Amino acid sequence: MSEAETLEAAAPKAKKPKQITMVQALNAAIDEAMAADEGVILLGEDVAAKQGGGVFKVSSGLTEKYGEHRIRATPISEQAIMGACVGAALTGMRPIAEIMLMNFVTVAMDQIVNHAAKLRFMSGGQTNVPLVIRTTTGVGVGFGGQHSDMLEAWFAHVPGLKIVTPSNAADAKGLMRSAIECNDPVIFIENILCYGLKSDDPGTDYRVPLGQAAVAREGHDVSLITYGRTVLDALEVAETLAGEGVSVEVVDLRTIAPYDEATVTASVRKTGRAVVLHEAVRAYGTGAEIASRLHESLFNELKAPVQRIGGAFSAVPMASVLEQAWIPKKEEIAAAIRTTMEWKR
Amino acid sequence: MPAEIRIPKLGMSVTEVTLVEWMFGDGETVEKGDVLYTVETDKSTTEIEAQDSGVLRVTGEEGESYKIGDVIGTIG
Amino acid sequence: MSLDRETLLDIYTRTMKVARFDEKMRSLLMSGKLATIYYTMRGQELVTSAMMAALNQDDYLVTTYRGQHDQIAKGVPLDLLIAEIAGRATGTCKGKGGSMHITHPATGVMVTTGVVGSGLPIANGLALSSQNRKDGRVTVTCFGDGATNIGAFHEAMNMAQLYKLPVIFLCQNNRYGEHTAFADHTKVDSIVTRAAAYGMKGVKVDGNDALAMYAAAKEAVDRARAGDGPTLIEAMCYRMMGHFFGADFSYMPPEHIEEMKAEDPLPKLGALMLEHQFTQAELDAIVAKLEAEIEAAVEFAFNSPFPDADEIRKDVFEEEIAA
Repeated sequence: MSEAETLEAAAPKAKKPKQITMVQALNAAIDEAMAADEGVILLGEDVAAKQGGGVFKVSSGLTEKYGEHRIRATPISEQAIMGACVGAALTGMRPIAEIMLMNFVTVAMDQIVNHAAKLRFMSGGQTNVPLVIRTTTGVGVGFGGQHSDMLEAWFAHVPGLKIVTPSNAADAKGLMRSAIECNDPVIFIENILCYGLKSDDPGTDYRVPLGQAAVAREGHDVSLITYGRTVLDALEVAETLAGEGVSVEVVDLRTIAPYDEATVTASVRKTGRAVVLHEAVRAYGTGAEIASRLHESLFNELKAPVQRIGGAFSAVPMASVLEQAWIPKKEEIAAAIRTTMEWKR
Repeated sequence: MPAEIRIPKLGMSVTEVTLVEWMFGDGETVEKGDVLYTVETDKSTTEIEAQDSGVLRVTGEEGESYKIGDVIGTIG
Repeated sequence: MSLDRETLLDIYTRTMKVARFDEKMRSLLMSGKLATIYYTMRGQELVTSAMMAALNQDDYLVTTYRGQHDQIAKGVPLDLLIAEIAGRATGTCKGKGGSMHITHPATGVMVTTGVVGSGLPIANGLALSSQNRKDGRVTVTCFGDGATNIGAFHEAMNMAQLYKLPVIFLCQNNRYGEHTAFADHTKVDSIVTRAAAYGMKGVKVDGNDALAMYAAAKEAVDRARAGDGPTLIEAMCYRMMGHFFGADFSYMPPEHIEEMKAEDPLPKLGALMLEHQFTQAELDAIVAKLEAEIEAAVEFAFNSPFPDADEIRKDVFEEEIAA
């Protein structure tokens, strides 16, 4: 053996990092937060041990550890769930409200929009609402029109709310801890299709700051800006286009609102081209805000107008072939990128 | 110091009213609680009571339109 | 039924403070010196005072846009309250909440809402916090008969009883929901019947009878503090004026208006005080002091500056929004 090989053979073997799924990551983050602060509680339908620890198992094992007064299964009463969490938050607790599916936030809109978002302002700063609203959604599992909506644009439009969504398990862990510790209401959007994604376990007390985007893949020809499940599509498209000689930079917002404008602007200033991608309906989506801001700040430096890709303008259809047609396709994303590459002023 | 008589805010959407009638004339003495003048909005006619006692000075004109907060006289 | 002198005096003082405040507000609005939306509580001065007299300072209150009587009876300082209504920087909420969103945590006033019924689910949260922390506080949420038809009322009632929360649902039934009379907005004869629908204890009381109202309030507070769960109190009273200051209320039939005048809580309470061996001189002295306090608070408010425009960037989030 060479000297180098001898040294390597003698070195203590680094342990292969443990892998965790997004569900396990969320569960661990909430567990750690609950251990550190008695004020962290979870309210939602079917969340307690008696009901199996949550329909997606995110609160599995927590009732046994912390008790039914901290993991409270509720009746089907979204207004009551949300209001109770707002009230508890006003006293300095850090409640997590679980809204089983994002479409059901519509039942709790008064508490979210008229109260959670506005009480710090309307009280002149005397009270605040350190609340996390966890909710699940996602297109592609055949849940149909009332169980698949991505509504982040609605909430981004309400001053006083923060919105985050993880694209991987490690970020899920870090974002959840930060969301719980944030002193303002955070809407934490989970995607059904991402629950099984695996990452290396980032370890105890891992944090991802709110308002900080991640460059998931570096590139220099075009910036592909996205969040949530579509980050995976973006990375696949970037890999494919690399073969065509197009270098795509993928920016994962992680916090949808208020988003990391500095990172996004720096990326697009570098590449001169941008495509904004989200699973939510394209029309009037968050992509419109981001594209508009890029046009305002980088108009003379852009090599092409900012492109937007999003879901189709209809309720999400039930039939599988229609549902798949509804979802933004990788070919569409690639085509949008090529449009920016081929643009002639 | 004479107290100003201002057009009050009478409803959710009312921004302008018509001063219909003064119940007292310029220079007359009014008592707090006397009906002082009436205004008309597109919704109804309302009597406005004097909130002070003293000598009335009239500047607002009957039949004219005024905005909420406009001074139409004083009592002093 | 009887009450000790100290408690009677307490109820009387709170009631007259509310009454004189409301008169002053209406006068300022009528003279045009103040121009703001204002939901007068004329007729409901006593019902709230008897309730608040049964509470501690650190018990929580949730109330509504027609809530100045609750807030004053709970103990919100008059100067900060009037300054807020007048939109001044010195108001409880720096002018950013106004009459419809008075907040004053030091006296337990945690939220005032402008959306009918939305306070009840929030009250559950305050009570849940007390339950978990075992801090001995109770929460009172005040609302009108109109609010008992909205979804949030029903969800909150059910959850409160399910979790046995230390909360009191005080329905100040003033017989009108906005412009609609009680019998025209629901088919039940009484709101109290709704308590049974959720397995909850319900009590109906004449809100303008100080002794009865205080007794009902005290019992509900004691139950809640002992961990025995929530109570719905339906306290009958009258809204003696329109929905808001300046609103036409000719939709109220003349018989109803006569009935209201006969049941006016203020002369009733005055008579009760004399029956309990208070002298008119004593009562007048108390009222004179309150009136002076109110005058001073009004002067403070009108001498206060308006908030700066850059207040808009503050308190949206913990961190200030960039200019």
